[in-house]
Formats: sequence, C-alpha cells, structure tokens
Amino acid sequence: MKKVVFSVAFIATSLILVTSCNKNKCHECHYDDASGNEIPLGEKCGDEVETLEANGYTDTTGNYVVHCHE
Amino acid sequence: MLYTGLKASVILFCLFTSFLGNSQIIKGQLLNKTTSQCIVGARIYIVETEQLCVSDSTGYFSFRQPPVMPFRIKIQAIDYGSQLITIDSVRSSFKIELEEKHIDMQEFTVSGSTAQMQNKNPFHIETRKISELTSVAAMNMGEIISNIPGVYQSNLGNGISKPVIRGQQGMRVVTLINGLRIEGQQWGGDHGMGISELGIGSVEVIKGPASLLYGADALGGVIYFTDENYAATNTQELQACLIGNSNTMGGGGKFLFKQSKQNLKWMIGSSYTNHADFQLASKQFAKNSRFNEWVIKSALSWNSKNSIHTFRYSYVQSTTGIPGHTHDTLVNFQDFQVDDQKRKYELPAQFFSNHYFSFDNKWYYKKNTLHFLLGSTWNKLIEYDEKVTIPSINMSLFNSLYSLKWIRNQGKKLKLIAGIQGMLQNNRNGLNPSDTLVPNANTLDNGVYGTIQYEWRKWNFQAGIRFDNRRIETFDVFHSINPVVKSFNSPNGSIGSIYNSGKFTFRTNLSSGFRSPHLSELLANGFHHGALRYEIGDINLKPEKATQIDVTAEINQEHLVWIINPFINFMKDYIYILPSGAYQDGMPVFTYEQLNQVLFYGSDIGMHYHPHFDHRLHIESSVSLIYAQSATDSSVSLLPQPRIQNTLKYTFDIGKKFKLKDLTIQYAWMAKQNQVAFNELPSDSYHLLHAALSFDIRLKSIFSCNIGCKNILNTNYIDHLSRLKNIQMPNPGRNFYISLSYKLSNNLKNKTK
Repeated sequence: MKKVVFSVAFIATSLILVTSCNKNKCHECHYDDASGNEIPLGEKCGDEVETLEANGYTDTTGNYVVHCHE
Repeated sequence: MLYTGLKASVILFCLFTSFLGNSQIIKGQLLNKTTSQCIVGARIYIVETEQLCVSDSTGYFSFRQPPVMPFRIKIQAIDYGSQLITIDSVRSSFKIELEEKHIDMQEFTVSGSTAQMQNKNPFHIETRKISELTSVAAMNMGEIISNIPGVYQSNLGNGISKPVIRGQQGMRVVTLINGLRIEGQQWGGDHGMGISELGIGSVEVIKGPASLLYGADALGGVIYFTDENYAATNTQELQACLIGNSNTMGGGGKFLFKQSKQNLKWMIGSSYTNHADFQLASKQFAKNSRFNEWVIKSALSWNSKNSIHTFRYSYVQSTTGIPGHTHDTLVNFQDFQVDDQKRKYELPAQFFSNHYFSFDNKWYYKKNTLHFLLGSTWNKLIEYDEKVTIPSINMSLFNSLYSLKWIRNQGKKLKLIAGIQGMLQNNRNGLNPSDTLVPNANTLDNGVYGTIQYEWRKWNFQAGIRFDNRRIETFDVFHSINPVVKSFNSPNGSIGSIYNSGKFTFRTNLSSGFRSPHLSELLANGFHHGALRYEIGDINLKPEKATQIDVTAEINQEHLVWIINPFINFMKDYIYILPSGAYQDGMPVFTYEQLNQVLFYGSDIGMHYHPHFDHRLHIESSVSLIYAQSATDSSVSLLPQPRIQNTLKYTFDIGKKFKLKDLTIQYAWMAKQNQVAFNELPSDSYHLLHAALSFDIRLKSIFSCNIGCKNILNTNYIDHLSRLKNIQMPNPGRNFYISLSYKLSNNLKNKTK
C-alpha cells in the first residue's frame, strides 16, 4: 500500500513540475498602422514582450498599440 | 490576516490534541426485522464523531463510545435505505433491526440549523449523493447538480458553469463546502464555481431565501457540498480514476487516499482534467472553449475526549478559454465555429485559482453542543484579453469568516439554537490590469440569530429570527466617484412545520432573505470581457429583499413516491442589468437597474417508481416550472426553461470476471422559453438523451468501468441559460466517454481488539 501511495504522490508531483509555466515564452507581435494594415514585428520574448505591450511601438509616424499572440 | 488565522489555528490544534482520550468499545449487530438474517456490508456512521464502520459477515460492527449521550448513528444498507437511530443510554452492545425499503427518499441533511433526517426538517432540502448524480458522467460540478429538480446551470462552454436555483444565480446563490462559504467573484456570469468533484460526497440544495442560517446573499438559495466520508475506522483506502471523452478529446485523472484510526482520520487527493474545444452537432468546434483544471484536496480530523476538530485545505486552479470574444461591431457568429479542434492556450483566457482553508470544531456536552468554524478563501481571477503580458482584469478576493453556533437540547422534544456569523472580504485589483471593473474595497458582514425547534407527536416545528449588517468601504477615487462607505441592515426570519405519518409528509414554511448590492452593481464602470459587455453600476441601489412560501407534499408508498413542491417567492427591489443600446469600443453598454416588485412562482413535481414485479428497475421523473411576473415591466432575464427529466435505471447481476452492474438512461425535455426580458431572445425546445452502462472487471483486483454516451441523438440546441447564446453558439454535440476506477482498501492494525 505504501508503495502505491508513494508512486501516486511521485507521479502527481512530477506532473506538476513538468507542466509548470515557462515565463520566457516567445510570441509573434504586430501593430496596426494608421491605415489599419497589420505590421508584423516578428517573434519577441520575455521582458521585450512586456515592454512592447506596455509602451507600444513608436516610429516616426507615431505610437501604436502592440498585440502579441500565443 | 492569513497569518493571524493560521496562528490561531495552530494554537487551537495544540490545545485540542492534548485532550485525546480513550473510551470503551461498543458492539452492535444489524438484523433484518422480518427474517432475523444479519445485514452485511452496511455503512454505519456515528454523526457526533464522524466515525465510519462497516458491518461484517455476521452483521456485527464496533466503534468507540462517543463522548456524548445520546448520540446518533446513521445506517445505510442496500435494500434498507438510510436510517437515523438515536442511542440514549450507555451500553456495551445492542441489536438494530431494519425493515426493507424499496425506495429511500429520506436523506440525512447537514445544511439546516442542525443535522437531522429530512423527514423531520420543516424546510425542504434536496439531498443527493454525487455518485447518484454522476451515473451519467458530467464535465463539471454545475452540470452534475443540474440533475436536481429546480436546479439548472448557466455555462460558458464546458469550463465555466454556475448553479441556478429557481431562476436565481450569481450573488443570489450562496455556495458552501463543509460549512465554508465560497467566494469567487460569483457576480460575473463568466466566473465559475471553483469547485471540483474530487472528494465531494453529497450536495444539499435549499431552494429560496435562507438568510436565517446563511445571512446576506442567501436570497435565491444555498448549495452545500459535503466531503465524502473518511475511510472506515482502522482502514486505509486508495481510489483512482481515469476518464476520457470523445467530444473534447479530453479527460482527466484523479486519486484520493484516506486513512482512519480511532481518533485520527485524514485524506489527501488530487485531480487534473484537460479538454480541447468542444465539438458541436454540426461537427465543427467551438473556438477557444478549451480548459484545464488542477485540484488538490486534503483534510485532517481528530477526536478528543468530548470534541472533534477538522482542518481542511483545498486548491482549485483552472485555465479557461473564453469563446465568442470580439471587439468588432459587425460580428459574424459563424467565425466562432471552426473546423479545427485546438487544445493549446490562446487569448482571451481566464485564470481562476482558489485556496480554501477551514478549521471546524464541535464540542459535545450533556445537553449542549458548540460548533465553531474559522475559515478563509483566497480567490485570484485574471483575464487576458488582447495582450499576453497585460491582463484585462486582475482581481484578488480574500475572505475570512467565522461562525459560532450553540445548540441546546431542552429535553427530547425541544431544541434551541443560537449563533453569530461574520465575514471580512478584501477585494483588491492588481497593479497592471488594463481595466478595473470594481474598486478596491472591504466588505464586513456580521449577523446574529436564534432558532427554536419543537417536536410534537408526528409534527416538527421550527421558527427563527436573525439580524444582519453589511458594511462596504471603498478606497481611492474610482472612475470619478469618491471613496464611499455604505451600510445595510436587515432583519430576517423563517417559520415552518412538517407533518410526517410515514406514508404522508406535508411540509410548509415561510422564509425571508436579503442581499445588499454588490460592489460591481454599485460601482462597476468598465469592460467585462468575459461577459462580452461594458458594465455601469448605480451607487444608489437599495438591498433586495425576498419572502418565500414553500409547500411540499409527499406520498410514500411501498413502490411509489410522489412529491409536489410549489413555491411563491416575492422579491422587492430586484436588481438586474439592462442593455442601454449604446456601444463602447464595439461592446454593448449595460447598466444596473432596480425593479420595485417581482413575483417568482412555480413548482417541482417528482415521482419515483420501483415496480413490485421487478425490483431491479427504478424510474424517476421530475418536472420543474419557474415563472416570473413583475409589477411594471418584463426585465427579468435568464429564466430557466420548463423541464421534464426522466431517469430509468436497471441493475444487473450478470457475469463473474466481467460483471454487468447497471444501465442508466436519461431523457430530458426542455420546453420553449418565451418569458424573456428586453432584448433577450426566446429559446426553442429541445430533447436530450443520455445512456450509461457500468460494470466491474474482476482480475486480481476489481476495476469499475463506466461507458456512456451523452446527447445520443446529436441534438443541435442552445440552452436558454447558456452564456454563449448571444453568439448563437450551440451546446456540445454527441459525446462518448469511458471511465475506469480502481479502489483498494485494507485494514490497519486494529488496536481495539
């Protein structure tokens, strides 16, 4: 019985560890320009995604809201 | 706050464990009253000490003498039903003779003012075992309890489901697990219950106002979940189960381990489920309806000389896709029905996590019982809408509560109950969400109540009064509204009686309830992406009040039981949400309004037939009817469709290595719903047919297998309460499932012999 309990506990713990989230995931990002065209920004990862989504993308024509996808 | 609660719990734990005591062993024997044959395998549960034992091959069972006299034992045996017996004198052994019962409609309830048999309770409480409700498997707890007459579910796909009692839902329904009130931002239509099936043994439903016992918000009803029993004394038990579903290409697994000694009992378990987008009857898939859920559950209980103490901790975490999300003003609903089934997380999505702590204590004295519960719940709700790192909503709700109840037995006929209850809620928004729908606020509840119960011949009477205060305090300026402090008071009460002659039961009661406006109704001003709308609150809303008359008549014959349960619920200052016709960034704007008077009325009618010519056959039918009438207009939305449910169950005893156990067929007819509010569309009627077959595979160990099919006819339907109705998304199509369960039980070294 003890073996069974320990086996189940081990499997459960392993599953939790294996499925833990990865905070440095990468995402495809884009913004919509003034004409409504979707402009891809390529794959962005980690803090860069956070900064882009928080501050938007700025170029000579203005600042645009950035969307990133899974 | 959490630290203080835990510190108190640790001190109490140290105090109580020092009183662990020993007392004598009592032996009993269960016999058939007619034939005097012993009854084998009956489950004998000592109510006061929560001990469980099982009768052996000679009908004998034994347990340690409880510290209180009289004490009650609940006996459950196949073909004998449930019986509650009071032992009122000290003795070392006794015999109990039971009469065979073909139909058992009398359950033991714990959600009332005291634990008692339903046939002595003046208030109608529906009690069901989860195992009975899952004879055909369900995706979530909301779906499980929607098999109870008068109870429905309002769902947003498979991952989010909320209970609906007689047309009331959200903040009007109070949900508890083992006495702990669950708070999980239930004001939102897209915020689920946060309760998993793991380790839950039964559910009790109080339909209608129940503020006397549960205070503010218990206006539409109460759902009270109770854990499974611990393992039988001096045994340990391991349960494991795997399930797979064709419709969502998903499933899950769970395990639960229990161990019980004379004075110490504990259980621990975990489950995981993962489902991809569900398939529609058209063979397409509901885009982003996927979800997954993790659950951990644990309980530790110990007995001392005259008391019992239980510490419980559970954790539920779910990640759910939100289907039908768009900011486009011109929406094509077909865009949400896609050809590919996906499982991988994508936006928009909801992350919902709940921690539940409770420390439950009961002290037994000669004529008095004291019940003290301390608990906390911590809910975290995050929704990501258009950005992967910046949530649209990020809220924490920390809830601390206490409940102190004193029960005095004044002789055998009279019982006095008094108590105080309180709750402190802290609602906090995270630092970085793009929207804040409700402000940072504290809510403080306090209530005091008293109840009297009296038994006279075949009658039982109960009456009680209560006074509640709720104080809401917000911080900071919120959408141009300065911080506010609001206080709401309300007296409530209930009175009821029951006449039970064995063959006929008549129950009638009058009860009241109140609900003060929630923060979201008072101060909301923002996008609620899960509900697909922009919500605006009203600071001047008044508390809702409800008064209900509920009557139950039961005719109990040997092979047939009839129940009719009509009700009238009169609500004053009913709060509802109304589309204003305006749009904000493509989303419709809704405002909170108040109606002077609404009358809800209807009935649940039930029948259970167990024919004499074949005792293996059970036929159950129920009809649920709910109507609303308002004095001024028709603003009451989301009224459940009239429903007829039928269940046919046939038990078998065929085979040895492959043993067929039972076949269940369920048929439900949901009638057309034409009672609709402004801008609410009527719903068509539909039929649903489900079937399940269960059998044992007896190898070296016994494996239980359940195979079934839900929505056999592949009906394409949209339920009136579905949150996806506004995007014309049908409910799931046909689903085949298979589950495999394993249960291992063995004895520990028995020190009592």
